[in-house]
Amino acid sequence: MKHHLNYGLAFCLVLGIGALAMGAENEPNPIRTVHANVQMRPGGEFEEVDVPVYESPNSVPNLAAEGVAITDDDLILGVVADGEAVAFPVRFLSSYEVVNGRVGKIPVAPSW
Amino acid sequence: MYVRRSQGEELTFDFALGLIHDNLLISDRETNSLWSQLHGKAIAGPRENEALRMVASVQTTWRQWKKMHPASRIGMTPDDWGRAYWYRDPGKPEREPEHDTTALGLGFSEGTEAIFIPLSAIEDLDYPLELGGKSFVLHGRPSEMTAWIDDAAGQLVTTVMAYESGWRSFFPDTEVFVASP
Repeated sequence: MKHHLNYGLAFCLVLGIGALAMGAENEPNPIRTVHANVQMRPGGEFEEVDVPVYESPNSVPNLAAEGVAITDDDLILGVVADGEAVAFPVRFLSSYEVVNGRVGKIPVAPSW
Repeated sequence: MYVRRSQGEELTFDFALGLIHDNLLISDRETNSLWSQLHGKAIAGPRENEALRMVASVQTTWRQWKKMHPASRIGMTPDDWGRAYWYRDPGKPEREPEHDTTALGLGFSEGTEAIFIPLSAIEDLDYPLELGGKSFVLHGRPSEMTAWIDDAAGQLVTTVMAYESGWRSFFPDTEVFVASP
């Protein structure tokens, strides 16, 4: 399922920026919530809230490179494990922040 | 990159819209726990205080990666390219001008020690690196917006590509790499 998290988050997951200035356009509905003591904006105070959770792709396939319109300049997150090398394009990851894939038989969660 | 398994159970992660120390969160469907994306540790829910195991990964360009691994496959939902992003014009983000991509670097911890290696501080060279009483080799490739670290046996070690501020939020006493003249 493709959805665009139009929060202005882009590549901030690992990067620690957490731009939580949300835009309302195309905003998907959360699939559940988790009650926790967190910040809801960068630099914000911690507060008890129901944190909304949005669906990320599951069972992401590992495609043959020949059939993918990737460019040399595309950034990827690459991993070699269990005898298989897989590159997860950042353009794909950054739409979801985290996805669920598999490298060899190892279940992995690449994130951005 | 994390192995999505905890207590022998395979987990499925979704994105959670909140922050811990200014870093984003993920949540697993199986237990509804909340995890720090940068630290890989659960901060709430049934798995609180558990840590996910990392698998070593490298962020780089497709150009560089396919040189290293010509048989690599590509992990993505077919044709799901999302949006155009900042790296089309490094240093001039298309959507988020507050992000300065020149400030990216590699975070690495060993034992109780941590180091942040700004990409701006290195060249396309290999550097010896000592941390936590162990020897490593830092492979600098800032021209491909990447760097990676091997241990003394030549095995890739786990690192995180991050901004220094994000890295410092979890490793406040981190060293910052300075290349020897």
